[in-house]
Amino acid sequence: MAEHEKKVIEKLLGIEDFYELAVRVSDTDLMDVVHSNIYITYFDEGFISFTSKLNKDCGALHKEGIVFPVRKVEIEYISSATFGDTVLIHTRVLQVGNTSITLSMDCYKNTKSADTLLVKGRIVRLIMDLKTNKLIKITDFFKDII
Amino acid sequence: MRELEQKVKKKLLDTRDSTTLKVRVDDTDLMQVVHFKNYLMYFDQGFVSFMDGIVQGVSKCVEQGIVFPVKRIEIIYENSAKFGDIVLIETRVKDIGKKSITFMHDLYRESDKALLARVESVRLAMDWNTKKLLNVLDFFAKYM
Repeated sequence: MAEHEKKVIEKLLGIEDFYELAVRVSDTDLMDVVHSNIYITYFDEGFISFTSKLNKDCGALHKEGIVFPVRKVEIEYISSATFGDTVLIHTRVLQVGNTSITLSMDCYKNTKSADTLLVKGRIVRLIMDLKTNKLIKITDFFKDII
Repeated sequence: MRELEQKVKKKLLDTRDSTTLKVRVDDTDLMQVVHFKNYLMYFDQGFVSFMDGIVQGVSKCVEQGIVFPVKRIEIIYENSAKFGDIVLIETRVKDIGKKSITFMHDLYRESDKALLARVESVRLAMDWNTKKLLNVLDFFAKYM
């Protein structure tokens, strides 16, 4: 592996992002909690915030045909939030593969502490160029972050 | 009681449910395919269909305050569905614990039987009035 690649991976593994959002009424269900499916949309928000930290604007990239398909999701539900709460999404990179990146996306109610953990999430994303329908190598995509 | 439990267990493990739904415009996203969140909605539908076959109307349980929170999910995405596709959801029970039940849902595109996603979900049964978890087999024995 080239020296530059190693540096990119090292940098990615060291990045953390916190993103806060308010629970919307439409996120809740008949149990008066945020519906289990909704956390996935929170993961999207967390991911967009994470990439913007690396100066990658998902909106602009989409217009160029660069998208981030999801390959795998794992969620463990610990406790619940409802309307009136804020959700804090803590994003970290767990693994950088050749064409996939695994992120940990843990959500907390209001503030981060051991007793406010809502869900433990893990997501595997790819980066794809819709113009060629080809996957982009992760370290190529992030090569300019160092 | 033990015999009844075995009977309930066998019935749950032997049941295969399949249901279909049509992809709507608002299920899709900027990648022209169904957004990955919506597969969760689809397998929720598979769960409801499975339960309707077993307990005759899961909505009645909900009216009585029995709900089915999700404890854990794992999804692997294989292919993507598009607007107009019919999604076939096949649901079966993989495992029955004391307080949890694990479902497997396979989602296919109906036209070419392409596997779209494979989902494992762990659900609980809870009495919303007392906020207590129910013994899964007791619950099914009562409602079946």
